[in-house]
Amino acid sequence: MAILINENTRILVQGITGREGAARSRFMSAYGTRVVGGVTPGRGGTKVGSLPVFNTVQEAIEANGPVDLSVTFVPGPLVKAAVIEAVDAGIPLLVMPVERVPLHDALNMLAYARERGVRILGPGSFGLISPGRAVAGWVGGSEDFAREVFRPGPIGLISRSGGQTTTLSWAIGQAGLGISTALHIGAEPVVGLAPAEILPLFEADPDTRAVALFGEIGTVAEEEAAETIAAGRFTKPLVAYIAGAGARPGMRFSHASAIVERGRGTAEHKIRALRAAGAIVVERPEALPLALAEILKGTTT
Amino acid sequence: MARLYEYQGKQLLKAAGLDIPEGAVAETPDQAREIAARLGRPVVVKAQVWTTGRFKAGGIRFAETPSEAEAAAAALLGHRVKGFLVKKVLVEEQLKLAGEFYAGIIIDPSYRVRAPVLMMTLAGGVEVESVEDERIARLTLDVLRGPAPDDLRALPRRLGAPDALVDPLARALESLWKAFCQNDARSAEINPLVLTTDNRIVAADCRMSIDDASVSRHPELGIRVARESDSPPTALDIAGWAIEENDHRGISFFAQLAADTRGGGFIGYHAIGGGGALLAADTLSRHGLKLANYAETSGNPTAAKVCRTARLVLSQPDLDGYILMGAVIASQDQWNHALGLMKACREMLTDRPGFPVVALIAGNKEREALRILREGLSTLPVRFELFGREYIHRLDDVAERMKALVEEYRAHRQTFGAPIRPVAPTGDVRWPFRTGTIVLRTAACEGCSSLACVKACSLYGGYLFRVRDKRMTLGIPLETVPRQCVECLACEHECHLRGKGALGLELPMDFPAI
Repeated sequence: MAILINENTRILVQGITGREGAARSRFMSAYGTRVVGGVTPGRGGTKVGSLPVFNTVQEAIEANGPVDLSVTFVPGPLVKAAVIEAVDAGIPLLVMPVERVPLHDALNMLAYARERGVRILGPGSFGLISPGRAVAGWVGGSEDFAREVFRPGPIGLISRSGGQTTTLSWAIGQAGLGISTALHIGAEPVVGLAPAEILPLFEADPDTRAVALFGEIGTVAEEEAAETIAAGRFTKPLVAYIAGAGARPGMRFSHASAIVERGRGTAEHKIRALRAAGAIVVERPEALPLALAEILKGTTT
Repeated sequence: MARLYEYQGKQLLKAAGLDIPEGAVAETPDQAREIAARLGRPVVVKAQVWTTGRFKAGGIRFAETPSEAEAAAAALLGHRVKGFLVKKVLVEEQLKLAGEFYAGIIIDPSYRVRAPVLMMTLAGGVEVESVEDERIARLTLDVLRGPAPDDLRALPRRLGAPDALVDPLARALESLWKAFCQNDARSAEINPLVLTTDNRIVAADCRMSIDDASVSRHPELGIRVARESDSPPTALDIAGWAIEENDHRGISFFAQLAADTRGGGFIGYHAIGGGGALLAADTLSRHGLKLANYAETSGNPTAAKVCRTARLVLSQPDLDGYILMGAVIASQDQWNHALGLMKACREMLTDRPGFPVVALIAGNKEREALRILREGLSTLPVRFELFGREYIHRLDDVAERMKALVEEYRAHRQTFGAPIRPVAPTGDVRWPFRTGTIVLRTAACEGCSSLACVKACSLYGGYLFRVRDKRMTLGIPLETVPRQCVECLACEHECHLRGKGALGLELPMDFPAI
């Protein structure tokens, strides 16, 4: 099972001939992901490895069959056009590994996609992986490493940090558990798929028995996840860690979304909301795998 | 987000059709007097600093005459308001107020919204956070279509504005929305938006910030560093931004934390990846280590980008150590971090015996990265310790080792050194790549049969070189080097380790004078 991506998901790579597009297409294919081709305007008819390259998304679908998911390896200032193209072609899920997308472009494409029922993971998302099945984006990086770090298992992972998606998955593996699907939602000021929307997907996934959440200061993502739990749309155990609680005032940080604005988005507020909804919040990230192991043993803390 | 000063924001509002008070910016008391004389009426002199509550802090002064304006400017310029140094003042006509309002646009990141939200209250002139919810009218803005005029009129109406004010206020809101869009703003606020006794709606203040990722679209705004910041960038911050500005391969982030590190006691801090970076910085501080700066490289940067960032980290005077905290099992190819750091160390630490270099590096290509560092650092006089993934959740242990090495270094080093600067390589052959140049000393290269550079280049995916007559030569047309070179810096590293040191990489960057 897993969520959003598995071995049958047909994947297109937009920007496949670029530095990252080419390298990550090779990695995704090597991992067993069903990458069916790529798009780079003006490079149609060529190949990247054994993958056919098309000029447009529409052309790729007509010549090559339907696409379930597109990964956009297109530089931030140019990515809006690629997203609009993919949405118009009817691809239901877009993964955007690109950082530094102009904010108004991001707002526009998220609104455009939402009106047409298209989900976007990102922008600024490292991607998602269902271990042993498929991967989209650059999470995992290389086949050997991805297999070493991401073990299949019963834990769903939602992270606001790209690096911590991998780090926590590895730590969860060290604790003898594994991952059903791990996702990085992106670190840009506004992003698409939110933890509050991902939790119900894990609820419906029989492979997932509990979910780990790596949260951060800034935005209302954790508060809204707590609302989802309180509303009964997610009933499995959730264990969370919120980073940035110890951030000294004035300390700057590179995640654009991790900023406390107008007193909103403090770690204290997020921790209180999650605990009130019944989630477990741990004080240190390394405690997270242990808490999950404890829960799955049946002895809740 | 990149903040604008009040006077800049007001110009953008004016360009979008909103009235602003008549006035101009002064950098000297003389200029302030001249502006006041030209206006020919009572003025207000406002310190241009990035903080709220300027009035209470004495940063806003009223002047009835040009000489009073001069005195007010003299009292502000070069002084600090709430800790911020005043370099400019805005000299404007005094407005006769009949009403004070607030209008602002911020982004609501909630998944139910994901859009800009326009807010208005008629209880302006105070912190909007303190206004009760029922006295604020909100409108979620449709970014695809923009707000309909009726939607905008509905806001003042809902708040009970008199009929005569509804249209002028709605027009002001429309101008604010225009300014917000035209300038790729992340937030834009007018507090207060005033009604004058002669029935004009005027923006008496403006706080606007521009989206970092959009700054390059607005050269006219003159923003030097597109980064969230509470204070104007330092010269080092500007040098840091130059690394990032035109290179989209991975992210480099640099913030100077200590203004003056002379006398020692500070370390350079370089983290990998955003998530673990703050955590690791906190850990080091908890162990009593003082950070001169806070740098991050992430998102699969080239080794060249890592090198430039590491150089900046090492460039503050009198540092007592450098630490790379990769508190993350990274998906990116970590050899880029190892090769980038190695070049910076080779360039800058050859005359720093005992200088502590500590690196925690984990994730994809971790073993290769640790081997590169171990081999490379062994050729330098520095004290180094390396940590791998088993230390990801043992940051306290890493911090303790750093602390111990720093203390030993401080106890033994005799003199404080000058700031360190890299020296560019020399040679007779130059092959330019995207952000630098391969420089070769042919004579030295001719005596070498290692082919270390050729092997390294293919191992890391460049394939620039080939072997002819058992010697290295450029294997691709010169003009394709910028496209083909992945800037892994491995050729220089391997040449220094296993060859004759004939190949060097020139990676130009600007260092501020200290």
